[in-house]
This record gives sequence, structure tokens and C-alpha cells, in this order.
Amino acid sequence: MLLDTLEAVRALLWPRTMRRYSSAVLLLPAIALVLVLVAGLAWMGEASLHLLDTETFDTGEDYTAANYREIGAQSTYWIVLGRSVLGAAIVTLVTLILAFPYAYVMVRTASAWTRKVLLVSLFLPFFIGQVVRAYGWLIILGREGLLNTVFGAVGLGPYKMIYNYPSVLFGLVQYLLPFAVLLIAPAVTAIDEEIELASESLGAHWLRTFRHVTLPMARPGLVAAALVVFTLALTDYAMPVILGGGTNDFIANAVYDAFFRISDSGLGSAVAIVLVLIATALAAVILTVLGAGTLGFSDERR
Amino acid sequence: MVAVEGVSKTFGAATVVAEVSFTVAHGRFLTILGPSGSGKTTLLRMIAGFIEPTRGEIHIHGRPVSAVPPHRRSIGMVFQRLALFPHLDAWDNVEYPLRMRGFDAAEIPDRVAAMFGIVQLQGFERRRIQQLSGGQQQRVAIARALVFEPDLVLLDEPLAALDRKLREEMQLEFRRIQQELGVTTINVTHDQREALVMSDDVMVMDGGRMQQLAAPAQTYRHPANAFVATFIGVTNFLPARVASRTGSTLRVRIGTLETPARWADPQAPVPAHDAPVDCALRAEHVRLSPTPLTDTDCSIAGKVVQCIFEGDRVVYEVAVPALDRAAIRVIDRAPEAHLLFAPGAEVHIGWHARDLIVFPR
Ligand SMILES: Nc1ncnc2c1ncn2[C@@H]1O[C@H](COP(=O)(O)OP(=O)(O)O)[C@@H](O)[C@H]1O
Ligand SMILES: [Mg+2]
Repeated sequence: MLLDTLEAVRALLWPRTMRRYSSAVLLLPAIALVLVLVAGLAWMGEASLHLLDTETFDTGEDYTAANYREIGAQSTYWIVLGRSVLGAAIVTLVTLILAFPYAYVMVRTASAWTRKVLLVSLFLPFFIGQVVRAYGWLIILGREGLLNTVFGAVGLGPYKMIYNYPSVLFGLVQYLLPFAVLLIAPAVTAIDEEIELASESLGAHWLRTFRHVTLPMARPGLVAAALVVFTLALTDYAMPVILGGGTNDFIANAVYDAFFRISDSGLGSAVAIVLVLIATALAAVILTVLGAGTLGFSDERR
Repeated sequence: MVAVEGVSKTFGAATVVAEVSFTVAHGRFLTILGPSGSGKTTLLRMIAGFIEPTRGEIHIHGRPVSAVPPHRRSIGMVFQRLALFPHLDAWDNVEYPLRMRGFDAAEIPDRVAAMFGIVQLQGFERRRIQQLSGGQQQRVAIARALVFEPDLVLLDEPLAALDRKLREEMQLEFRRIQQELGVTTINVTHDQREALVMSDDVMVMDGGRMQQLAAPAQTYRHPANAFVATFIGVTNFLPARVASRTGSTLRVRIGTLETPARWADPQAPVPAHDAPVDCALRAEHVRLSPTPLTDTDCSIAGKVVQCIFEGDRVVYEVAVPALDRAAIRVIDRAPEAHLLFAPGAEVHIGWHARDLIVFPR
């Protein structure tokens, strides 16, 4: 009855003849979002081509590539860039290595209890949020932190465990692990356990089964996870600030500094554009190396 | 060749396989027949080495294998869901066991090609698995399980998912390949027809227990117990009492009918007078006639309740007042009698004493 009424209302608002446009209409919000993003980028691109007059603090009218030249000329930017890309690469590798077994055990375990514990420990950090988590690590790893207190009690330390590169990477891995697991788990679920058994009965021990069957079949999930983890790490702001304490800035921190410390929106825009270009290029490299077809875009569906 | 000795498997409190023992001689084809959930897959997986038996031992070539991991056992398995590798093409699927088992790289292509010939799949070597039909995928799975010349092949209902025509075709096809290669095979199915058609021996299983191990015709003609009698063929079950017994002749009373019958196990003692028993009567052993039957050991009147035309046979349900109004299923294969009796028709049914099999209750 209720359904009939709803159906009648739907027929009035959205006649059957409009049905072939339904999918287009459902896409509208996504398209609008992308358009806003593109508009923002275009504005930034435009802004990046004007130089800030350091006397008057006005942006100039003329178009110039001076901001980009400035970035190229300053070694600080090259260092920040190299640090971000290298960091993102290391974080991606470590995160995937940790996430795969986690996802695998979570999917394959026969014990419902183990699965629940693994799932909860995965989602709990999600609810806490990145910044709070980073501060949590400060409390644990800081100079006067929990660990150093423990070490001090047994006559060790204090050790410097924060405000360095490894601590930033550590924080990023911990932050990104749940994303990776959530992206890999469905790919593992899609592998019928019988296939792994088949591989064993055909003469492959578990390691070769893993290498020749499990890993290639889980590829879509691994590619997706690599892509997400890499771009999120590369563009991260909070971890370098909180756990790096200004000593280990990433590109996003440089963007922030240009915009809000020295109020040079032209330079900030230029750095941001560089970041977007690098992230896009590296994502394209990841997709080419690991294969875009594995993301499920291949023409032959299973 | 393969000897299963007192093998049991319990998961927690549930006993899934209980005290199963049998042997399969070299080159023989054994089918394990049982309903879904009777423990067939579990038994097969214990032989393959994926599951460890709770009790008992399995010998292959006279050697106990409980300490041998699956990849060291020389067993080719065709799985319930085939378990082909979707990221490899047909050729690479068949080649896989040869590479994993360290076959001489020079002879691998010849072996694989020969296998594609045996399963009659030439020309499909480079197809992706998803581009093959169900029947072709079966052939790839069979080729992959046989290509490394295993001591033993295990089939876990791989044909169950096919439609009937293709299934029956593949049954004969696999039997041909099995005999051509002379490979020892254990097949698992819940399809009685498949068991009877393909096998040298049939082991009937129910509730994790072995019910009977015999040649196909034997399980059909001489079921060891009431379960086997019901599971193989369409069987009427009639509660009865022992009426009399003189020498080897047994008479039972079903409702108001007293009739001669056959005691299922000639070795076992026949129960006392008036003891409750179960009688099994196969639907295809019941004769149907418009007039009283004279050439059978009994003839009783009934009324057709239902009549189902199945093409090569007609299945009737006949209500018989003398048998406590039991509905007797009758299968009529005589072409001239097709659709002779409509529902409501008064008929006479009868059977031979040897076809009324009596089991202890
Ligand atoms: N790992 C397991 N844990 C608990 N019960 C199981 C397990 N595997 C199978 N079973 C149970 O054992 C019974 C037999 O299963 P299975 O061997 O798959 O039967 P079949 O292959 O004859 O259908 C089923 O009732 C099933 O639920
Ligand atoms: Mg099964």
C-alpha cells in the first residue's frame, strides 16, 4: 500500500520515459563535486602565475612563472619534495606488507571471535581521528612520555623518539593501515579457499601458493590500497606537523606555510599545483606498473 | 592402492565422519554416494591431506600418509567449484602442477598438449577461464588434475553444477578418460544415477557412516539396509509385521494384506513372529493393471491418485485401502501403457515376492 503510493509519487515526479537518464541524474552530485574541485584548481593555477610584491604585499597583475622558478631554485623545496615522495613510498610498502596478512587472517580465520577482535581493532582508530591519534603518540613516545618513563625506571634513556623522520613515517603507517586492510579484505574474500587448496594439491607449498595464486588474485585490492595509501601519505599534513614538529615537513606543510605564514598565495598555489602534478603522475605510474585492469576496469568481467 | 582404515573426524561435538574403512585397488573407480551433509567432502579432504583425521590412518601405496602434506601427496583433485585459476589461461592452468612438481621443462609442453588432446580441448589452450563454457571448464579441471600422472584422483562432485544433459555426457567422458589412463579414482556424488553409471564400486554413506560398499548392481538389487534401499531408486516404504516363516520363505502382514517377501540379509536371523519390520518396494518393481494380476505373487486393488508423465516413464501414485490406505508409487516404463490410467481410475497392483525386501526395524 505504502509502496504503491510511493510508486505513484515516483511516476509523477520521474516518468518512465525519463528512466534512461536515471543513471546520469544519480551521477550529478559526483560530477558537481568534481567540477567544484576543478574550479578550485583552476583558480589556484591562475593565482600561482602572479608574483607577490614584497613591498606592498599586493599580488601583481602580470602573468609570470616566477613562483615556479622560485620553487625550482630553493633547495628546501627539493628536500621537502624528496622527503615526501620517499616517505610516501616507504609508508606504502610497509603498510601493504602489514595490511595483507592482517586482511588475510581476518577473512580466513575460522574463529568468529578472532575476526571480531581484528575488525574492532581496525575500526577503533577510525573513530579516534588522525590528530588525536598523533597526539596520543606524542604522549607515549615524547621526551617525558610513557615509554621514556618506563625506560627511566630501569635506568635507560631518555631516548629521542619523536620529531624525526621515522616517527612521522610510523605515525603515517599506523594512520593508513586500516584503509589498506579495508581495501585488501574484499579482494581476499573474493579468492575461493578451494583455489588455494587446489594449488596445494597440485604440488605447491603454501609460500608458492601465496606467490603464484593468492598474491596475483588479490592484485586489485593491493593496487587500490597502494594508490590510496600513497596519495594520502604524500599529501598528509597532520603527521609531519605533530610527530615531526616542524623538523620533517611534507609538501602540504610547505603549502600551508606559504599561504598562512608568509601570506604568499601565489607561491602557495604554485607549491600546491606541484603537489597535485606529482601525486597524479606517481598515481599514474603505480597504475601502469601494477596494471589498471586489475582495478576491475578490464573489458572482460569475471 | 588406497586404504582408509577406521577414519573418523569430529568437529567439536559433531562427528562428521565415523569409523570409515575401505580400500580401492589400483585402476579402480570408487564412488562415494551420500546425501548432502553426509561427510563426503570431509572424507575426501582427509584423503587429500587438507584435514587431519581425528582417528584412523590412510595408506597410499601401502605407506601411511598422515605426516605427508597435501603438496607432497601424489593426488589430483577436481573440486566442487572446480577451483581453476582465473588469472591464468587454460594452458597455464594445466601446466601449473608440472611446474610446481619440478617436471623437466623440456617435456612440459608435450605433456600439456597431450592432455589437451585427451580431454578434447585442442584449440582452447589460450582461452581465459572465464571465456570457457561450463563443460570446457570441467575438462580443464580434469586435465589439470591428471596431467602430472597422480597415484590417485579425487572428484568432489565437480559435475553437480552442470545441467543434466551435459552432466551425463561428462560422466561418460570422464569414465572414458579414467579407463584410458587407468588411474585410480575416488568420486563423490549425491546423484545415484552418476554412482551407478560411472563406478566399479559404490560406497553409500549417510550421517558420516558407511552404509554399504558393493558393485553398483549389488547396491541396487541387494541394498544392505533401509537407507540404501531408499537412497538408490524410487522406493516405497511399508511398515509391516512378520506373519510366518517356514524354512526360507518369509511372509509379512502389511495392513490387511499377507504376502510372501524376501529377508534382506540371508545371514542375519529372521525376527520372531509378529515382530515389526520395514518393507522396501521399488516403484519400478510394482506392476499396474486394469484387471487383477495373475503372474505376480500378489494382487490388490487401488485407485490412481496422481499420474505424472516424464517422457520415458510414467510415475503413478496409487492409494491402496488394504495397505492402511498407503500411497504406493509406481513407475511404468511400458510405452503402450503411457497415460493409460487417469487419476481416479480403479487399478490393480502387484509384485514378486523377491522384490519386497524386508529389513529389521
Ligand atoms: N570445518 C568444519 N567445522 C564444523 N563442521 C563442519 C566443518 N566442515 C564440515 N562440517 C559439517 O560436516 C558435515 C558434513 O560436511 P561435508 O563433508 O561437506 O558433507 P558433504 O560433502 O557430504 O555434503 C556438515 O554437516 C557440515 O556442516
Ligand atoms: Mg560436499
